[in-house]
Amino acid sequence: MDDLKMLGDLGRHLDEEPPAALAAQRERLAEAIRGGRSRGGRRSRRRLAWSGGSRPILGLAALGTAAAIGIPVMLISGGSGSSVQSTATGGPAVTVAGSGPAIQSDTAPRPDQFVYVETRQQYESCRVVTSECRLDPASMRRVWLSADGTRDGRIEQKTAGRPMSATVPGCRNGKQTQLLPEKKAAGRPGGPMVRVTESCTPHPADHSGLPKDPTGMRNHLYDQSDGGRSREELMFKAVGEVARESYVPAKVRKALFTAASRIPGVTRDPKAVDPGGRRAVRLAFTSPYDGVRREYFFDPASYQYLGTRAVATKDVPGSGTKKGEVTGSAAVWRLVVVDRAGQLPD
Amino acid sequence: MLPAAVHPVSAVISERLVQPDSDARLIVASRHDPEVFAELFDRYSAMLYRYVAKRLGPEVADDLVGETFLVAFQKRHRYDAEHHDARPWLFGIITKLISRHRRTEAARYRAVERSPREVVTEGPADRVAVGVSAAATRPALAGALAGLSRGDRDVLLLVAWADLSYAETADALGIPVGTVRSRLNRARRKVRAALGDTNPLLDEE
Repeated sequence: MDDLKMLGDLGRHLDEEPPAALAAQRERLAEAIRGGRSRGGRRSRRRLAWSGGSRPILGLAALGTAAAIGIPVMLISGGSGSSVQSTATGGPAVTVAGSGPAIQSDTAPRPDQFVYVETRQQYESCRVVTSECRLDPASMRRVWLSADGTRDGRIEQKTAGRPMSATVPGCRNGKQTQLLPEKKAAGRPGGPMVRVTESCTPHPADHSGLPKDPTGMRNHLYDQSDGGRSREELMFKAVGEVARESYVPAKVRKALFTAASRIPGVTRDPKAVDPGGRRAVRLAFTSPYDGVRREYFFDPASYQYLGTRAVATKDVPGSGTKKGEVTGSAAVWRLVVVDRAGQLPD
Repeated sequence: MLPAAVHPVSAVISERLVQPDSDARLIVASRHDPEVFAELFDRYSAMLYRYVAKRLGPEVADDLVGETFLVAFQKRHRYDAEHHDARPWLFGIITKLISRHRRTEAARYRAVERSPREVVTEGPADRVAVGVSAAATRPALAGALAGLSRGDRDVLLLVAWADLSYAETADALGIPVGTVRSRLNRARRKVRAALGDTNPLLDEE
């Protein structure tokens, strides 16, 4: 036993769970961020509207959303795709009526191609100011992601009811370039833009290179799970990173599923129904941190990733979110290899 | 309530958007789009909280975490985008803020030092591995921490409690890696000396 281990033990002894009050500190930061930009009374309704789904917006912005441009037509197959229904598992789910699913999980993309993924999703958006949360209507998210990560991809989705799109910059020779709005206020089409080049590493949507055995995959997940929460929780999140919106060949899928099932705390339900109404195996992990149960659904035969759901296992004070409430779900509806970003498959 | 809990689903669904981004990209983007900066809070506030709470206790930790992000937000224009991982930067900021609370920190360790010797280890299995002797040595260890110089303690705890590498610790404190090594060696020597008195098992190293 060495002194650093003993010190680690003392650290655990002195450890404290972060309290819910950290939210006040986050609000303090949000206030500073707003303060830096708003003038007088202009701090505005737009903020409320934008803060709706603050996470996705942040996410898009982090990728360098050039602008929140309008998407003229949302492709809803069957015409009833955005309705909401209840399922046996309770809570809202994404209805995927209309055309059948088309998940081509065994066609490997060429490096210059794109993985196109269509996901019907529904998630909760929360207002920063009032902290109220509610489910947005179900909508569709479409992504075109570069197979080798070197080409510009594209994301289109609705966030808090507003269409958003973003370019996912490709990483070539360790550099990526994108246009960013010069100011936040300029986040509308036509505002002044600035070209930003940064160092990067490519994020291929083709995951063929990942480990094909459970142990190798477990190590990969472990490597991806450094952060503020427990290793198990972050490993389970990393499972989603591998599975979601990517081409994952059969052997890697199996390894992923096996490695995920073995993460301590993960439960497995072989007779589940995914948010798209399909028979599925469900893996779930409940975060000791915020009480959210994250679920992933896989095809029982092929281990193809089918979707995800998040369920509150306890009331979230102040947000109106109740124990047992499904706070969001997503179902992969189409996964096809295409030649160009923005190209819709037939 | 915790924003992390309030936005659980968006987090689930849009991870693809958020996760592949390095902290550096986030910080750079926040120069044009300040709101993005809040994501950094969601990533690291819990980690920073735990670190400060260990050193200063929960009462101070809450406030210091908030202050750290305010300072970081103001300094975001000076962030070196070559550093993909923002942890050293954030831990550097919080270390400076911690230094204003030296008396609180010393008092915290002294309290552990004076606490009755524990013989029962509770909780998860991974703690059991450390064993009863670990619990028994806590008071001596805490006393040793209280007696370290500020610079030595910062290095030791960034390595032991914040899990930073030597290079990251050097970045965080703005000192050469060689200095990190020498401070760490000195700090560990003192800690071992304090432990050696109470636990003969420790001599094996």
